[in-house]
Amino acid sequence: MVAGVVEIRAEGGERIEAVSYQTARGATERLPADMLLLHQGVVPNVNLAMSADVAHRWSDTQLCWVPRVDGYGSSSLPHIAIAGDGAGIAGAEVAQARGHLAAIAAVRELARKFPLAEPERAARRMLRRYERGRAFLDLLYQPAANFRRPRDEILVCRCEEVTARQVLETVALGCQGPNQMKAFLRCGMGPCQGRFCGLTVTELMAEARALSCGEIGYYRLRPPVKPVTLAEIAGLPTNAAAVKAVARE
Amino acid sequence: MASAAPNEFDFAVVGGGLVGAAIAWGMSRRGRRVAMLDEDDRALRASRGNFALVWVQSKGGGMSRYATWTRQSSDAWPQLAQALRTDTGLDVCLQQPGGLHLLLSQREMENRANALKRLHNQPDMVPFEYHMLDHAQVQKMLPQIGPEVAGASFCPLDGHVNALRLLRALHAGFQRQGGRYFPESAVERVEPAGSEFRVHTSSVEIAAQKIVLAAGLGNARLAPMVGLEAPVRPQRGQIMVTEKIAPFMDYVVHTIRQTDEGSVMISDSVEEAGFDISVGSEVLAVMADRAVRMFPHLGRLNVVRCWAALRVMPQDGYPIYDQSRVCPGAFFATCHSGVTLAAAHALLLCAWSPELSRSGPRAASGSKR
Repeated sequence: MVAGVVEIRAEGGERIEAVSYQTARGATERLPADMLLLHQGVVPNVNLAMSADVAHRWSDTQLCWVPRVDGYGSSSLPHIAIAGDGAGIAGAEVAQARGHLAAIAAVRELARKFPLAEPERAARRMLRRYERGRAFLDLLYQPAANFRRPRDEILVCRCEEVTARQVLETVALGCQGPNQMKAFLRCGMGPCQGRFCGLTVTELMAEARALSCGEIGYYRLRPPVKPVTLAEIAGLPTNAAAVKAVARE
Repeated sequence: MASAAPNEFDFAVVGGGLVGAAIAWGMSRRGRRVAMLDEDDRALRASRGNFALVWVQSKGGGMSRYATWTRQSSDAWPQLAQALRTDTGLDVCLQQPGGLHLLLSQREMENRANALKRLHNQPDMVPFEYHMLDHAQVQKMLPQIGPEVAGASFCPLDGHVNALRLLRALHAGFQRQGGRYFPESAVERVEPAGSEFRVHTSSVEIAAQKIVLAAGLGNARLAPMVGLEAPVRPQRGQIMVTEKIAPFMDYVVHTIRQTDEGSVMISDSVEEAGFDISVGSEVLAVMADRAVRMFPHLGRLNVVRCWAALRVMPQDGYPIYDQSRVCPGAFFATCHSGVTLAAAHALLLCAWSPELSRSGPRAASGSKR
């Protein structure tokens, strides 16, 4: 077990042969390895909620976007509630409690005669219990800055092979945020639609422009949230107006 | 002339999309001191959502001068691509192999043939080569077409580019030539002041001898400030893009093209939906269905993204270039073909008008309404 690693590097040719790393004290070590697993924590997958235009905010403790929800998981849009880690990482037990609360709110909206006071109290008790210590964990396990904001030739976007240096060059060219940058570099336009690079890009641009991540913003997300085939889309229901909008005769 | 004060310019170009950036690039290339004023990262941008065709065969029905202007731009495009590559090292991947408009029924064939006949029968039309092809002829050019393809119209002048790289190259080239780019500077007010214009934006105030409004849909709000009118409206178009595959098309198809990077883009819709940029699955379904009937092998490809963008559609569909009579020195440019006409805007427009440029002969304007 090695703690306090500030730099890490996979070495090899066709495949990994060694891992070299540097600790905060400055020593560089090298270990032979045939596999390297990286994990910097978990963040909510916001692609579905953002593509539906649900309002999000930047979390300075979890260093990611989280949807704006009220005490019942209700989002900024009517009829869309978000429970579980999608509303902010808090673990399985909290997810369950959030699910109960979202369901309670949904039932009340459908039928006000169900007060559901006792189930709500129980869910809130569970929430309080498992949310205790969350702020401490969030700070303790924050990924280090140099793992969140890579430098130079390190790939930011794996799908389109865009490096950190290239992203920063677009800032010098006047790109103010991820959307103009994306248009210039295709960063975030591949099959993952920004799932891998999105947070890195926001953080890199925020640092380069000396703004908060919330001010920099995020990619404009669009459907499909997961890739589907063209034939599947061709099989979706349609109507006369849509035919007229396409097949102009 | 303007002094050398930091925020004084020969020209202020309002708009950092393809029309504004092409004009700003063209004028800074001619040695003018140019400011390009742009909105923020999430602004509505036709230039980030377009289909990237350099398209000739169907442009100009009802106005032969528009057909001529399109043709001139298409002819000038190789020069623009070369200049951008020399200046910025960026290859905008211009290809002009000819384009086909695929047709899925005999009725579509007849309508297309008649429309192109009408286009070429107009007075003052400069004719260009095009052919109506039957299924067998199309299949020789595009072996993977499906059995439902009845035929196509083909024009050897048509082509496409990488439009996103074009936008980047124009911005990079403009700044390399000394142009000043002002992002997050939405224009709030234009004030004619003596022989110059004061431009108030959300971030800075600048002064310019002349001003060019190239703000797309924003022109509707800005033009009246200098005594002009901009009858433009948003017209929604939806696009789907697939995962990348090996190159399979030697030609461009009007509604389906394969980018230099390998993904396939499908675009075929026209909707009047105001400023709503949401995508609708009903329209996507029709587009996907037609695309799969045109090229059955595309059916198994994953679609990675769908989007809607707003065309900047002038009332009658034709580009507008105008100078204010009330405020001479205030110009206005708008069109819905910012890619096709980029070369005309970057290379020809700036050279034509002595008002727009110190050098360059005044030619008979083929574009001015």
